[in-house]
Amino acid sequence: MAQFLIETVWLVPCYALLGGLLAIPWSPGIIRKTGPRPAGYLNIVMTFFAVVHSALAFLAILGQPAQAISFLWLSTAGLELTINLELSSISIGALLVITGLNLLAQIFAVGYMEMDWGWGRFFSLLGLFEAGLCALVLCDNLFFSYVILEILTLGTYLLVGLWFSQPLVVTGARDAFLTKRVGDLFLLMGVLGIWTLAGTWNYQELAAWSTTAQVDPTIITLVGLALIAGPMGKCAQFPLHLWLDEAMEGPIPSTILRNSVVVASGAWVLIKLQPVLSLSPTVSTALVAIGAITSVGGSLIAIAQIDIKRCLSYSVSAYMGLVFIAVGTQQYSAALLLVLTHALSAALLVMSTGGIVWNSITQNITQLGGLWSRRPISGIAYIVGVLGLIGFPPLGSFWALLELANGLWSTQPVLLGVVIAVNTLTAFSLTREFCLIFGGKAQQMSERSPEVHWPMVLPMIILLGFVLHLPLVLQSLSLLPDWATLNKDVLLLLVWSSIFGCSISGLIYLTNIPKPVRLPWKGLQDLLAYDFYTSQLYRMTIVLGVDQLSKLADMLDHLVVDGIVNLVGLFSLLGGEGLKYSTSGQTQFYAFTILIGVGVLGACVTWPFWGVQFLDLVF
Amino acid sequence: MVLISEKPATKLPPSTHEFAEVIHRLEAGGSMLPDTPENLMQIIGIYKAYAVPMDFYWRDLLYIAERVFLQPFSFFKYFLPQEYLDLRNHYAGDDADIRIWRGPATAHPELLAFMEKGRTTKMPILFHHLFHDRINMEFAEACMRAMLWHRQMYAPVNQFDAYLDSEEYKNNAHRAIAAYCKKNPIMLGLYKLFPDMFLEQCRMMSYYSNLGLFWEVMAPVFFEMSDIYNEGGFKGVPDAMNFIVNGIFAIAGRPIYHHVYIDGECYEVIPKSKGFTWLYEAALPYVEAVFYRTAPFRGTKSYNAQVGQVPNDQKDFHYGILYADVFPVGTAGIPPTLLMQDMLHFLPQYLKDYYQQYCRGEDDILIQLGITFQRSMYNVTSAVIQALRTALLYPLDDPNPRHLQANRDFFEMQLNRFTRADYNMRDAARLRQIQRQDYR
Amino acid sequence: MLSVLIWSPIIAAGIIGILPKYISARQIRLVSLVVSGLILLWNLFLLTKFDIHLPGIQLEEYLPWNETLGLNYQIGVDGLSISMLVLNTLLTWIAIYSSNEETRRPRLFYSLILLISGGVNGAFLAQNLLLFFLFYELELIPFYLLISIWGGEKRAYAGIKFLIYTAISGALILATFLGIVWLSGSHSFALSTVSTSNLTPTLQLILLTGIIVAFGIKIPLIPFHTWLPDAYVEASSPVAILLGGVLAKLGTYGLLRFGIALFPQAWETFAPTLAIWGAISAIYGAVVAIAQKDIKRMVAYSSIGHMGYILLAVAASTPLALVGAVTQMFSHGVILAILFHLVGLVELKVGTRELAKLNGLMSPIRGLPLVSALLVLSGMASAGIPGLVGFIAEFIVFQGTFSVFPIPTLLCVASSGLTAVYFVILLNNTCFGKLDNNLAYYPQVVWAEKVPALILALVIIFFGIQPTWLIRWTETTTTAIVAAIPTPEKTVTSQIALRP
Repeated sequence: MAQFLIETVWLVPCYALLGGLLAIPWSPGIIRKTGPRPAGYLNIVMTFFAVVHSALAFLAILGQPAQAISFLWLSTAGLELTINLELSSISIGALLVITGLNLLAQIFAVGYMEMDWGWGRFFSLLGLFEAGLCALVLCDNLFFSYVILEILTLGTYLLVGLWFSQPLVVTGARDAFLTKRVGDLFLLMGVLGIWTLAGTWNYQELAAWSTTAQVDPTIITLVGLALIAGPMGKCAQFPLHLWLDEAMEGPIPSTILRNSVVVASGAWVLIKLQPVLSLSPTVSTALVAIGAITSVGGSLIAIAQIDIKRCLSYSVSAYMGLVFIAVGTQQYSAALLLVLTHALSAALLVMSTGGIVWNSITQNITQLGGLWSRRPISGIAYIVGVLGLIGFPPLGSFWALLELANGLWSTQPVLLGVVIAVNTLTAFSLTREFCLIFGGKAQQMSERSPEVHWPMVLPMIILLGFVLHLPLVLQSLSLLPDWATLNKDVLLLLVWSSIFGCSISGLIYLTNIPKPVRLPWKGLQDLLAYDFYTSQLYRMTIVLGVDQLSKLADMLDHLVVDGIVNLVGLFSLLGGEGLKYSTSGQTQFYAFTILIGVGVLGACVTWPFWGVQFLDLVF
Repeated sequence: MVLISEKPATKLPPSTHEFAEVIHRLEAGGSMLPDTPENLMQIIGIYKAYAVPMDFYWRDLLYIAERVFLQPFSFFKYFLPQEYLDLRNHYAGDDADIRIWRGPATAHPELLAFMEKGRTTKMPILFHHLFHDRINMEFAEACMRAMLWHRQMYAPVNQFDAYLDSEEYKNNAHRAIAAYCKKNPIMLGLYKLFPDMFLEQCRMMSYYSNLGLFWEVMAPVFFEMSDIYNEGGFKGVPDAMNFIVNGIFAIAGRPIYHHVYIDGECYEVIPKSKGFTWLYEAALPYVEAVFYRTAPFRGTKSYNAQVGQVPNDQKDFHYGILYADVFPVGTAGIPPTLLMQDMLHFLPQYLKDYYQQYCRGEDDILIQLGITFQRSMYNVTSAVIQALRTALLYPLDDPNPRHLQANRDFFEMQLNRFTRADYNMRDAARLRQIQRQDYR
Repeated sequence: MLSVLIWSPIIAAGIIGILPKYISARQIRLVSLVVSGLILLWNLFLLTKFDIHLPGIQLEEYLPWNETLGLNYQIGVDGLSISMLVLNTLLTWIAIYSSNEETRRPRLFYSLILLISGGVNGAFLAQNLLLFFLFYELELIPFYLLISIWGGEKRAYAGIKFLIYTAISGALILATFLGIVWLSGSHSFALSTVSTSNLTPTLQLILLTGIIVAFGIKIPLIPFHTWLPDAYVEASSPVAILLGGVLAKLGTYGLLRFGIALFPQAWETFAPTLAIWGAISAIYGAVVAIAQKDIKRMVAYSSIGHMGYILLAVAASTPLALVGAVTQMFSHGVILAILFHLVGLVELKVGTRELAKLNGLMSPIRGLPLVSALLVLSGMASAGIPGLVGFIAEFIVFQGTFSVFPIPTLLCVASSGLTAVYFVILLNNTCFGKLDNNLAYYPQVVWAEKVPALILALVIIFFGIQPTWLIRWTETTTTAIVAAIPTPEKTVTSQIALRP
């Protein structure tokens, strides 16, 4: 039975996909007489199956060796594309997290989207996403990972574009798609490149190959850089981070998933590729550099945001940056652990704030306040989310950060500084947000703000429970770093940094220091508030460049046409004639033209009777 | 009974307002909606289609306010018990306080028929609910939330909003809450920890009651209008408007209250004795919150704080049906769709035939009826404006030109709400379009 | 058996041409629809007779005609042509289906379309150079008429331009064919007997240049492409479907059949140039497409870009690359067809093709929801999103060529990124956004207009998920062709490619 459950775990993505397909009939125009809500219910049911199946499979495979399934997809002219699945406790555990979060997010959506009529499209896309993510974690083959990432890119485009009548949604969807696509195409180049080097796309074989590989350093560096471009896009790392901000135009239930598991998809592929990447020191350095810049920059930007969703999204970028650092310094277990703990806490934070946005209308944290006494459940959820995200013992991320910092302590003190700084800044920004939303006096927008109804509160409470119990689960799976080997100074440093960040921001935002807090240098504040002006930067460089280039090429094209100027003259001359005839419909004209054609043919057929001489003439 | 003669006795110079035409129409006792038979037919038909789901809304709103109350997992709040289906409307039936509608006081027969069969087939109510073959009660709740969230509407005339913060209200509420929680230790514990959370919920419940009591009146008004029209009663759009105006005055004094029934005992959270009245505590705030303000549609406006598309001040909100762009109805993020869908089930035949002739007929009926609804609500708003004018200012045939000027200023002030440039409300307002017949 | 594919449409064309006046356009459309449908079915039936394990020509038919001239009626099918035949018969049917029910001059219109269908089948089947040429010339005049009678504003100009370009291409083909035969001193134009091995390299190069230019005009390759935008844009959508979906394939098919196959040695010297050329075409097409303001023009230029991939693959001529080339020919045909059909629908309903004027068509009640949805699908297929047929074709091309021409391949990958750019521009402006309250009273899309798009969409998705069914036909043939080209780098590739 257990074995059966494990071997059939590939069904989990299929449940989700099926749910997505079942939702399609409720997209407008097909079922008109009744409303679209069944689409949501069906998806929830299918996701529930997925959760149950993966949970059972997880229990079954615990402590057992990883298994592999593979089926041939395509084989032609020496190209063999086999779908390899890796069924290990890690992959199935990830499966469990993804499906679980999806289930919660979908229940949340039932409440949040209750005034929305787009359930068919929304839930079919959620189903697609869930299926894609599940397939990704099971997939043990770089090529198919790439395929799934591409499909998810399209999914993002459509899901962000759900409210397509809204201008910013349209641009947001566009940028999300293009940014990710750029990353994906570099990944594709890497995929092509790695084949010529290793001759395989299977992660296991790649790992084996990388142990013995003798390759030209420049080539492997280029390939490695191409390979990390994809994850960069997915994980919203500088300079491909812009899309996450703009994707915040999408509905909150999808944001729950995006901030938690979707961004993690990139990290997952990165971790899988780690052995290959470590072949080139340059690539590892690049990873670390990107991660460091993103994590520090992101957490600074987060502090300067006034929009609830954007505060959170930049923290997400920051934490993915930490994951990059972890991978760049060969600490997979820390990376994986961080991805997991971050996913749960981030999801909880979005849920809590989502409920507030839902009936307090504004997303501007400077217009909220004083909600604690009236919305304690959201408040508690938020607090737990924060503590679960920053290094606060005994909750999840504490252990992840601890393991990471511990690894960096002796080798790279600078990076340790980065980790501590990011932790402090994140603690600061999240506490700031908490104070502005829940603390202080109620303002116009938050004066009448009752706790939301159960479909949103229930998943919040459940997830809250999970976040609280995560350490116990990790311990039972013995995933926590071994206490004995830990460096106690790092531990203290981490804890104090968290406390420091929280208390400082509490001090600033709960006491009556005039708000909004203004930095001495307006410029710097705007720089952060507007995300280092990245969007403008893009607009002035790449977008402008492509635009000008295309215009130029178009002009060139016209000139080429005009280049054959006499011909064009001929065309238009004849054209003028032809126009007159063809419109007046004189059949002689057709007869005439056909005659020409026949004439040409006749000439050819009768060629031998004069062609030989002709050729003699020529040669 | 208010008499509105067709022509003012003394004349003013023509208005220079950009909606001068509409102003003059209002001064002549007309409506913002042009007086054409087509418009009359449309609005009456839609009133009837609106009144049937409304008959469900008000019953369910009262049921939730009075019985469901603080139920944390209110799965079944839309499952109306027989008791509330039979609840006697105070303005219809033989035993009515004021008989506005000649029909029965219990739930409308078409509504009952729909609840039984829906658009699919006869099956248990649970399946109808799960298949979303039901009245979209979410819409009514959204209106309630709008009334709750928007503050200082018509203050100080409207005391309801302020009263919810008074000590007296808190004491009443706490008695009810305590009684509700006493049997459930968890709830009781939570209540001890976070009394304000429950208080806020109770405030929301009071608005449930408020809106329910408001709609209890409107449903029979609309039904009666439909019946009168079917008898060929109304001569034009102004008649229809005046009927509403008269209705408003007839029941302006109807008490607004909130009673909660916890195991058979009635707790008066807001007693009738407070003397809150239908016109000032329910009708005016309703029109303000739902017709004018509500909240931006997520499908058309960005909530991004940095972009500032959402106004910073509640009074600048302008997303009600008077400003709504109906064309995206039916897609994602456009809340009115729920109401349009509800009305779709109860359209009178003549309106169905009418829609059949235009645009895509059956296929875009949802949008066509939505625009009709927009027209009809402009008419209701006109009624409210005329009623206010009657209550606060002078008759239209007043001989004193200064009084007439005062009336005109009032009308212009009202119409200025549709010409404000900020948050480009002027483009959002649909007053200009509904003057045209081919806007459908 | 194969002859049915050639002659039944031509005969049908004749009959339809002389149908009496009182038969309405609708009925004529129906007749030709049935005819083309039957031909399609026959073609599918032939697939069952086709043995995918044989590399050579199958189901041959031979009929002596003009021995002295060496022109014989000699047809057969192999892995290169079989999928092209299916593409042609399918798209003919689709084109007729997507034609307007009240077409002007229906007899002429439908007989011309069927004539073309027969001619193209003949060209794909011909195993004799002259025979190929005759069929190749056969669709020239009909296309010219189709463009210049049923076309748009500048139809006459576009028509003439097309006519002259194609005539030149035809003349060049004829010249080179004759050159090949006379110079190589063979007595017949039969493909099987002709061989260029005994020609001097210079001559081979000259002749091959002729072939490449001739078919390059048809494909088209820059700078011979300027007839394409006008022809595609001015042609009504059924004609555009045939032009882009089928006719362009004659060019690439010609390169495969008469380029690689006839000039194994000379080909190698040309290959690197062609690869660069293909990459440039791909980039160029994509970049110019971005600048377009008219969605139909945009799609037209996208075609130039995608044909670039095929040229790259043909240049690389590894077994995998050639499989990719044929697959790309098929997928490009299908995708371009659905795109032209949908764009035509948009123009028909909204009354404009200008990006600036279009908006919010996704809107479910007043917009064109299904058309928009399919537009997204086909746009993404063209941009090479996995799960759709466009991706697997492009990927096989890239995978096949990368080891031979890495830089051009990377350029092509980049150009597929640019493809995504202009399709997102197209989709954002057409499908997304808000409907204009004053304009948005568009008529509905009727069921008959949806069907062709739905069928093509199904094809796109099906082969995207199950590409084997599309690819298996060509593999043996292409491998055989490559085997005929002995060069060092090829062996290297195959080593890499054949690594388990």
